Amino acid sequence: MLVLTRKIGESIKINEDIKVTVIEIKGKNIRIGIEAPKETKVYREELYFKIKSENESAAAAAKIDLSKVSKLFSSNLKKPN
Amino acid sequence: MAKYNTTRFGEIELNDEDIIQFPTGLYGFEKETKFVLMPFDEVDCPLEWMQSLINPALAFVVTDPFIFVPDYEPVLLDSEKKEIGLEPEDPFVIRVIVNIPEAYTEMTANLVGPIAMNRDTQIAKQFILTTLKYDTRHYLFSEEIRKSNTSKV
Repeated sequence: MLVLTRKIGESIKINEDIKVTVIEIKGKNIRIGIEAPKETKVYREELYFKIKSENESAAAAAKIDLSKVSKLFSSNLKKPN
Repeated sequence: MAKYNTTRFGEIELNDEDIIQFPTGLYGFEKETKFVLMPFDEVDCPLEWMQSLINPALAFVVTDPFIFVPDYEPVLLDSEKKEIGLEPEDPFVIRVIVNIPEAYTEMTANLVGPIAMNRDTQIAKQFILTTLKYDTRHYLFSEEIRKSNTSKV
């Protein structure tokens, strides 16, 4: 991993079109500003972990009694959430 | 036609065009690059199986999210559409993964990580929506139904 030290207000450029700026430091929290083209996907890493763990949980949960699940739908689908 | 072994359905025979290719797998399941969609046998059930053709024991339950959330808007970037071979205006098929706990009425759909499929090429990918509008555990049944059924399941 490339590690760089920056002060508040300083930035890092990634390629020509992405700029990451340190906006504010408050205790253990650091506010970061990201300027990137619209086509760049930027999100907190936790979101990735959440999707991954949801996939894992869904895969494990798929041991279901089909007929019971289907019955639920036939009696309740007219009232979806 | 090729034969695939599955735990849930036994041996199944599939044409190449029935197979959905996930070149990068699913999050946490990066090696699972081939699946097939199998409808539930029961009439009126909006759920489908998404059976892995790599790991016979792996199957997800998926559904069409628009049945439950008619105004669902899985917005993909043009660059993401390109990953599954789509031009910006091309239509695509969306499925979401359903998580079914022991109390079936508590089942949820992951609206944050939808699967988009290119209908022409059968190439698919799970995408992450960065909007905060949706939940990874969106209940498929109303609170009323969840409460009234809890005791029976």
